[in-house]
Amino acid sequence: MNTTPLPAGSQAATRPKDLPNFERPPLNEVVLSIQFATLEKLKSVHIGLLWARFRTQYPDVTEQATINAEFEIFGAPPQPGPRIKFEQLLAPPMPRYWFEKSGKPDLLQVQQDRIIHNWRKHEDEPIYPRYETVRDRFRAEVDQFVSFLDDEKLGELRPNQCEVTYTNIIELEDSESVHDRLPEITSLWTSRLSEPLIDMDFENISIGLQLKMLEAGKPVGRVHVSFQPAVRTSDPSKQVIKLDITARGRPKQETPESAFDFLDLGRRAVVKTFAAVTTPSLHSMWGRTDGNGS
Amino acid sequence: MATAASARSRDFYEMDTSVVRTTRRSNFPNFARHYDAPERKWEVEVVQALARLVKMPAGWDSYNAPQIKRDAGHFALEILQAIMRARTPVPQVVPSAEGGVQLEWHEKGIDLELHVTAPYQWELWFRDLQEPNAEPTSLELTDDFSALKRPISLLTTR
Amino acid sequence: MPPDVDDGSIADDADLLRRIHPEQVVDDKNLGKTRPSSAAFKDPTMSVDAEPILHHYRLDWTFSLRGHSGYSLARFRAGAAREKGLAVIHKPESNNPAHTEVIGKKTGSIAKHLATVSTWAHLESQ
Repeated sequence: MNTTPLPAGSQAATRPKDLPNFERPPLNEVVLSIQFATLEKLKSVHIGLLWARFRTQYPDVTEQATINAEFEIFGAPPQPGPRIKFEQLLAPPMPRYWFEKSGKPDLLQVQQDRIIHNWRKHEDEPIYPRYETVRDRFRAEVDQFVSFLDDEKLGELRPNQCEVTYTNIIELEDSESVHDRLPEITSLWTSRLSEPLIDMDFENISIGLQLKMLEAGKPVGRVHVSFQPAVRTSDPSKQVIKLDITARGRPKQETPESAFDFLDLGRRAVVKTFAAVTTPSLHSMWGRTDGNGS
Repeated sequence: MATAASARSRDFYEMDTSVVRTTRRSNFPNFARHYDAPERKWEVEVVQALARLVKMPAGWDSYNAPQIKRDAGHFALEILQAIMRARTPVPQVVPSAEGGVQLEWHEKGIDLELHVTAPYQWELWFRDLQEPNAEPTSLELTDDFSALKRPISLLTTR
Repeated sequence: MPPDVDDGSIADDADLLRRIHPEQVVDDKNLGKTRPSSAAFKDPTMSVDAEPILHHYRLDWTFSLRGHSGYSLARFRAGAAREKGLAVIHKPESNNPAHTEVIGKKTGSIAKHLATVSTWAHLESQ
């Protein structure tokens, strides 16, 4: 497939040797996202110029609603309930734009304060090409975006939050009710109740947890884990578990280089968390090869 | 739980014939909102003030002030959403000559000012007038909000 | 362009006038009065009018509000700025002989100090 080449002199990323490794991970989507200080001068009228730089690779463009900015903070308890975003009272900002090629796994998303690359499992690329490949594709796109901003004098890219998300679809054979078999998927759930529930049956089970990423004992980001039941639209009788793991945090400096450093850190956190919250029996099924699986 | 869900191409799940869809979560969000969530009337007032400030044109202060940055307003709201409790007084929301937003409380013997110039770039100034010998606290902050615990607690409970 | 050197030509006891936008007027319940927010004093090159120079040209504080209806006017001594390490430099402009700049980074403490010592030359009704 055509990809935006890496800039001259830059090096392709290499996989750290100490990470859990799976030959057949249940990955369905990987998202790398860089949020930055709003580029007030970037308007819809400029998107055509930007798209021209990616047109060969991504001939299709669509508009989407914008994604709200997210910030990981520490030292304050989480507040429940819905929150108002003051953008709701302002004139609508520039939409989010999808650049893609129909039937292909890669997607590039751009809005005034975010650039995102998605890899989605697809018949053209059913095997996950690995983080390093997806990262290199995204890095080339970000460099092209920075060059565009510079050429059109639209401002400087100043990242303030980065995010890595891995979405996994976990299926078990012969499973009509995945809840009965949740302990086979994750050690976070045991199904052991203090007392029997008479005339009641589990209908849905969702598990959510948050972990702080620490560096020298200080928080540098957060990992959000979510196990949710799901069904296949092609076969609603077949239940699966959707496991989302997101690492999000602030880069050390407001530069693209530092943003990718955080993405690399986030990826490590996501993969380690994935191995920790799933069971050794599934690790075997997924072909764990780093020697720590059963 | 905060995720990158919106960023993901959900439509991909819908359009693909082998796609999955999520079953409805049964975690009683309405129950949590009415029973546990603090009053958020302050939010409407603050959001309206922020929306008003970011619409002011450059030079709004009759000198050379830049427009108030949307990002600064957004992060100021994030701060409040993290720290405000049911009985915490509503702050005054003030534009700054640097294009930032300042949240201020001057009551109950508490002087607290939070000046936000960009996400993760803000300054705290705090003085408890009931401790006249104590030096004011002046801190430059990023993602750690723990310095706000005591001032907000005093404002809320005094 | 004159260099940014404080030559002391504006005396410490000279009053300086700064326009205050309506959104920068705050209610201070601790002091029992309305005063300018410290946010109004955060500009690193803060423009003010030196009142003695206005008087020299037979003008007064109303000159500083000319063409700026709705604004209030705060007054503070040049010495109050200098005691916090700020420079007070007379920089006359073609349409304003009294134009002066208070130069230097204004931390929260410094801006707070200027806001607290200020009095109103004119307070627009809120």
